[in-house]
Amino acid sequence: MSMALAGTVFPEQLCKVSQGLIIGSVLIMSVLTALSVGAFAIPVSNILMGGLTQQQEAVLFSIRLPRVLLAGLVGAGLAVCGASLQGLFRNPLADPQLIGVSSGAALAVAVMIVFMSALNLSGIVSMFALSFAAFLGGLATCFIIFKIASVSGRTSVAHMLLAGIAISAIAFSGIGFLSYISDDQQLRAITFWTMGSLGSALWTSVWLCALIVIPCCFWLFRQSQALNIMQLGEEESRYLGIDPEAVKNSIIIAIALCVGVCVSVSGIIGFVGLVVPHLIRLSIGPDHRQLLPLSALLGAALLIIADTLSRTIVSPAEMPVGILTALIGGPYFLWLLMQQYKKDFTL
Amino acid sequence: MIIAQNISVQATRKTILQDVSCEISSGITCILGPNGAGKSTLLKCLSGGLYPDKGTVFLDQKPFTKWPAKDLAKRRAVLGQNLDVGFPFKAIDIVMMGRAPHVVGRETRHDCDIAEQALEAMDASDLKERIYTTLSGGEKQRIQIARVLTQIDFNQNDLNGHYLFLDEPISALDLKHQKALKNLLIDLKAKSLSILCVVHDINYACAIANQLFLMKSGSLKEQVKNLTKSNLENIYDIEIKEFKSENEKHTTYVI
Repeated sequence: MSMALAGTVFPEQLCKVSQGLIIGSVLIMSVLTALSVGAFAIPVSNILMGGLTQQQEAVLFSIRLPRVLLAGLVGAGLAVCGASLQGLFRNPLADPQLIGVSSGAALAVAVMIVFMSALNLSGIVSMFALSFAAFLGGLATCFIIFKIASVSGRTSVAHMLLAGIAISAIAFSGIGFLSYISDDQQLRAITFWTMGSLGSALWTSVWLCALIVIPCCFWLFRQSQALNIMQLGEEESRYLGIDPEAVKNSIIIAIALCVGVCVSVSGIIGFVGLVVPHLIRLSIGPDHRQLLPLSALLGAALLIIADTLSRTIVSPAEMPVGILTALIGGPYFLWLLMQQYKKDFTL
Repeated sequence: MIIAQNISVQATRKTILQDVSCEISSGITCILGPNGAGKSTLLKCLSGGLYPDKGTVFLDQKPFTKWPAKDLAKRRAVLGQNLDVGFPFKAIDIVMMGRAPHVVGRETRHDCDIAEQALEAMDASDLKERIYTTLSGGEKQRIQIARVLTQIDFNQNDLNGHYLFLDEPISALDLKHQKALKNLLIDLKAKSLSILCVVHDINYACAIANQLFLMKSGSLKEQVKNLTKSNLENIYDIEIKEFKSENEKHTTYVI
């Protein structure tokens, strides 16, 4: 029997390790491509071997590198948050944007944009203020949606999605009102945020994002076994020595922080948190201990690729990356929804 | 030993449990009673899954409210009525989750062995690699039973001080697996495990239990060693026929 065990478990772990290696190499290749292509091409060989001209160096270090790093951090953060939310709701249809967490955060950002001009804050302080506002907005929405969607320990997906639609509608009417009363400059800033773009990547936003997203991701990784066990149901997880309320609260706070900072630096970029974990689940199964770290890698790679596409396909102009992710993610979501109906899931 | 002292549970408009006192020591205790009598609620209170509104439940003289969840999880396992699992895990993954309270870091070979033995005990070794969400109701129930067996480390020689709570464990099982579970529970009883089991099958309860709790509308009406026809008629409000085997050793109840 133990031989049979060795024979079945070992190749599986090998498969998981090799998946990690494949996704890791995709990530490295996407980083190199993203650094090299664009309106001003920089050969990959020069990036790796050195020998950059002064102009190439300037473009690489002050424009491309912060943008690629930011895309990677935001992609990883959104994917890990999506995977954790799905675990928490016990359903693969949860996504920070779909259930309204991003819109709640964006509303808070819009409020800050319009009212911050009165406060005269300096650059970095205003960036922190925006992130903090986005965090509070995201946190409030997370808790509201959880309260609405959970009835006596069970989470209803229909309630979750409908609550998300309602909250997004409220948030967007708030954003609309703020756009209406704002001046031209504020209007531009708000519009950019709601579309989702990485075009204004600065080193400060990279550092801010890294400071929040990386610890949040590792915190969520630590909860992965608890998330696995919570798939049995909240009561069952309590019998297995887990405090589901504590796990839920800590995960919601980490997600709100992480999504909040992502929204504050890049606006609403949807569907990354939906598509990425689902792709990983298709290849290695639903175990959160592997799902979360691999989602981080693939999320980073996918958003770097999407961002590179969005700034090259209509070059020299650029398209907000949020439009591209929605264009790919929307149909994917519909397909997933149909699959769930086929499997006779109760929505 | 688990002791409940005058526990009551109140829902918004209805009293679910009213002033119940009882104790579970070693052996198999079965709870019988009509729908809505409070059987599952009593099981939840006695397993520490639900704190009663009034009264206290003690495990080894210490109230459940004072036990850390992790320590409790090493002492008792509970099979609820919910068989749904959120994502398509493999059956073996579900069984391995029973090891969670014992494992620090990665699972070891020892943990895998216990899970495999539990699957074998439930005649479910062939389901090991199957996707849990695609299994039938009875197969799911066998996997979940294997999970709780894994949690209490059922292959130890001495299970004294450990508790197993089963809420309708045979509701989806076929006769062959009902019998396998019966034999297993009797084996576990011999290793001093304390088992509390809610069942609807009176004859099944009689065959395994050395103590029976009879419940009706939130109260524990009787605690008996052996059932009688009038006991049953009193709690179920129907006429029940009784058949004795030739040597009068076995009694079968028929509705």
